[in-house]
Amino acid sequence: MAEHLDGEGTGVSTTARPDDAGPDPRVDDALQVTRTDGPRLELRAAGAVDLNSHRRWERALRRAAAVGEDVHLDLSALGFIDSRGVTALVETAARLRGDHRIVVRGAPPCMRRVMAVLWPDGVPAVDLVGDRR
Amino acid sequence: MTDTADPDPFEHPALRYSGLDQYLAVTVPFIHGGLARAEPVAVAVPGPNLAALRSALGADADRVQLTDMTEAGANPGRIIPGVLRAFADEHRGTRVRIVGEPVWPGRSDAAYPACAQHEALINRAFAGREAAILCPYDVDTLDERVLADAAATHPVLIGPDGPRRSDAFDPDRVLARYNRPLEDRPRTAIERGVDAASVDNARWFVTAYGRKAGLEATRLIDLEIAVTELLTNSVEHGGGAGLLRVWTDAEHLLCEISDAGRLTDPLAGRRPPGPEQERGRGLLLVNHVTDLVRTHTGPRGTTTRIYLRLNA
Repeated sequence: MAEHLDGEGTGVSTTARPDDAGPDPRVDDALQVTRTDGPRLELRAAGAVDLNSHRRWERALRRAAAVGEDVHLDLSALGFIDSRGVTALVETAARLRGDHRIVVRGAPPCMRRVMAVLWPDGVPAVDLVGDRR
Repeated sequence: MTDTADPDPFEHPALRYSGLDQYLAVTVPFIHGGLARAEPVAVAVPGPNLAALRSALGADADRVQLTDMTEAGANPGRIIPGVLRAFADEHRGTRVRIVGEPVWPGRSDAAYPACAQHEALINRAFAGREAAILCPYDVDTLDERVLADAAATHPVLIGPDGPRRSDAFDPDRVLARYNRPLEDRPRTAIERGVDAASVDNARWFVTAYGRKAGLEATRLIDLEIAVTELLTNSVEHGGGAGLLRVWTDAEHLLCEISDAGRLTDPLAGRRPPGPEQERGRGLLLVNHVTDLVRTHTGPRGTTTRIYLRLNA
């Protein structure tokens, strides 16, 4: 059973209606952050990080950072992340102690674009690996 | 060029030129003057003038940052953060010189109001800065209206007889004049009301529309980013909802977001990213990822219209 790290109760998954209708707009849970099974702490985020899920995202990042190691994120099921969401990730990475970093697997294409515009000199504490182009 | 009694180190002259010889006769010495004083120099002008300058500078061209303004400044809203301040901020502590030509004969009617507002705002964005930004205007091909606006947005005008103070200098008036209702929409524009719960759906909808219109993959990402930032502003600062409209013309996909908010900071979206800029990165992103941003703001609300070229 995946453990939710956002401090709230189990949420309802986003279900997609047929393609011509888009995602169900009445769903409460815009973002789920779960811990993947495996030896190392990895968080998986699904859905979207936007105005409907900023606080949940920021809370999950804070808790992951508090563990005191590298933070591993699997964002391959994340459809979108906005400027505030990327900023939270970058700022969390900058505050990690020592040489710890955030390693992001499967970042959505918008993430790299936002990072290139808002951090033109790069973000050393964030590694993007296997991002979706 | 500066009045010795003037305490502001920032210089912002407009060069009124007729023909390439007059253009080079002022821009080249301006550039050489900077190089001779070890002042970093950048040039952001349209392609043909860029080529002429590169040729005229010869070996010195390697000491100057050369940028094609038709690309870097397609969206005038991007010029202050992405071209002018990006360069000046790289060299804080030394005086810089920039040749910046934001208006050329091919500028569209839709883009020109944003150009005039951009020129007006340079004065605010650079007040007190150690910088000189020289803005050439081609008197042979640009409208009288454009030249009159240049006289209002630049404190000094340079012509064949040299520099003189502009007695028409009134940048705030230009800023206000071009804050006007936007050009008509076609009746075929699709319209959607959007609130917090439907932002995700709106993002999906606009992306699907853009895909059908033929926007290529990276532009679809830019559209998605821009629309989300604008709708988020509408929900968070614009009364909780926005009205989204989308349509295409021969060259662009256009998307407009209207809300009940008021834009009170004229430099919103024009400050480069940096530690002092915690909030308001959304508009900066919109300025960077789109080809044109037009805004109308007033007591009844704010409308932002973004353009993305279909054949980029």
